[in-house]
Amino acid sequence: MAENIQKIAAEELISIQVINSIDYSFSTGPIMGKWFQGLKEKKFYATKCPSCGRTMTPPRGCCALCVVRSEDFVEVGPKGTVVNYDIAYYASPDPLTGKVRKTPYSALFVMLDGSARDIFAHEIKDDDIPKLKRGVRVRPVWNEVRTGSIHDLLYFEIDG
Amino acid sequence: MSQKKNRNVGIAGIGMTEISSHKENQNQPEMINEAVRAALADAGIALRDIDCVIHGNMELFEMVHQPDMWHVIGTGALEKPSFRITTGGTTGMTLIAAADNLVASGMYDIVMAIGFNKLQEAGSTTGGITNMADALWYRHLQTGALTSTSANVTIEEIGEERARRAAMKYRIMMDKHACLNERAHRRLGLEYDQIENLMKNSPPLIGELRLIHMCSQSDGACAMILASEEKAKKISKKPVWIRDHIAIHREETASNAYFPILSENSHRVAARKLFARNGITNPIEYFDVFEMYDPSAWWGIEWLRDFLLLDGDQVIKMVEDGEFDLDGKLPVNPSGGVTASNPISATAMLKPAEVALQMRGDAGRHQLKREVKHGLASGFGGVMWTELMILEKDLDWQGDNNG
Ligand SMILES: [Zn+2]
Repeated sequence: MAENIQKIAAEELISIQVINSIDYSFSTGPIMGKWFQGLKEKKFYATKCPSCGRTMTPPRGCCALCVVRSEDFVEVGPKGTVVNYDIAYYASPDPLTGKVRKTPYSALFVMLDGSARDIFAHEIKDDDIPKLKRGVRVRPVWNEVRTGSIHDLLYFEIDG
Repeated sequence: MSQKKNRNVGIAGIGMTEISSHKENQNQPEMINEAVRAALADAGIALRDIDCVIHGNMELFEMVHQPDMWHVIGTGALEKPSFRITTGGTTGMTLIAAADNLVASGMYDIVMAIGFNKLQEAGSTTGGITNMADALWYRHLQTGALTSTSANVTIEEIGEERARRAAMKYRIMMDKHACLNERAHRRLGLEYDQIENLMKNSPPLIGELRLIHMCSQSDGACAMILASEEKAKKISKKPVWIRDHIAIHREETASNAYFPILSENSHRVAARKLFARNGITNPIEYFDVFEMYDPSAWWGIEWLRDFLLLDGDQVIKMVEDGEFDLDGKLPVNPSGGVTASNPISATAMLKPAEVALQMRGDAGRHQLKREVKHGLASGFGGVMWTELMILEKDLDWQGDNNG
């Protein structure tokens, strides 16, 4: 009897499988809009804080450190110096596509030339992953077709 | 006096579920209720004695929105004032900080805080965390909570071999603590003679970060009952006092987490300010235990340096010398830490909960041999923000150290 109750109880512990797929659309606002327009033209636009002088990439309309508006744009890069990096071997799902990412892939943290106290993050070309080091010089590689998105920049590659 | 507490606040009840990789035998409100009932039993009070309920999790994992609403049958918040709090990995500590504020202000006498996540239901925590990143540009890069950037810096500072060895020693020390904690999720039975083997053979996740270094993904809930001094003394035989806490946020742009725009990270700023306003000049001497939110062994060795305001390789030396062991100079994470147990929004709450259990002498097999009078607990979340809390066994700090 007790065994039977246990069996029924086990049968009633069910897990419901759910896969969500929802479309989103995010507004850039004018400051990030200028950034994406810049990518279309193969340019990196940063904002510069009028108080502390640091640049912000991608641009922000306010310096969070000084709490002042920063709406003046300066062009930085296109080359830069690697300040840190990650090389991912773990095949995590890409939430933008739902597909498992090809590994290894990189996250690259780069100080674009002319920047002050802020960095930009993107990827490095797969072939250059083994050569990644802090301090290495990199240059951007642009997509042929540019639409004003982060994918207008394909990746960085080692310069030299 | 920098804290503006109208009155003292004590931890009067602690309840937690067992932490494990899966709990198919319970749904979310059932799991929460187990912790709630345990906390009420520990305090020796009933649901009708609770004035206010604060509920918290990272809903992006389970994707059940407004959980505070769906979970009323588990939390017992029916017709009570109730708030929901979500601050990333910090959630569990923010819940306790908020409960402390609510009681200290005089608004409520007895507040129950509940933190939980049921990550097995989430499918992929890395997918969830990636969706948290800035939608306009950073999502295509975000690697979940996995990063090797701090390892890269530590290696540059002290050399590959010494850094890798210290990180693995720290990881094995955490496992040794976890093995004594019957509530811990991962208890692997690692030994120090496995350092070399694990340094080579644990599967690499990202850069220098290997599977063995990284925190677990767990199911579990924790509930804590905070009460005014008067009520805490009445309902609990061993109330533990929350002396002070501080939250330090950073401008969150994802990329700046990996590059020091300011000379100190949020942990070091939190520690410097909190210790200064409480007159604590030597945290290693002052504290008897530190429960630190350590998402990976690499972050563990880096962040200990920041929280304890150490410089250069002082912290590495302390790891090498076993100074953070249960019988060391400053025992760190007797619970086994986050690499052992990580039901994310309960995780940071398990830190002050463990400190309180140590002070009460109720920790169990991993109870420290020394008397635990002064404790420190930390939470971490988002790209880089910190919650840091001082707990005291006795109400005797006032008047001396309020500088
Ligand atoms: Zn500024």
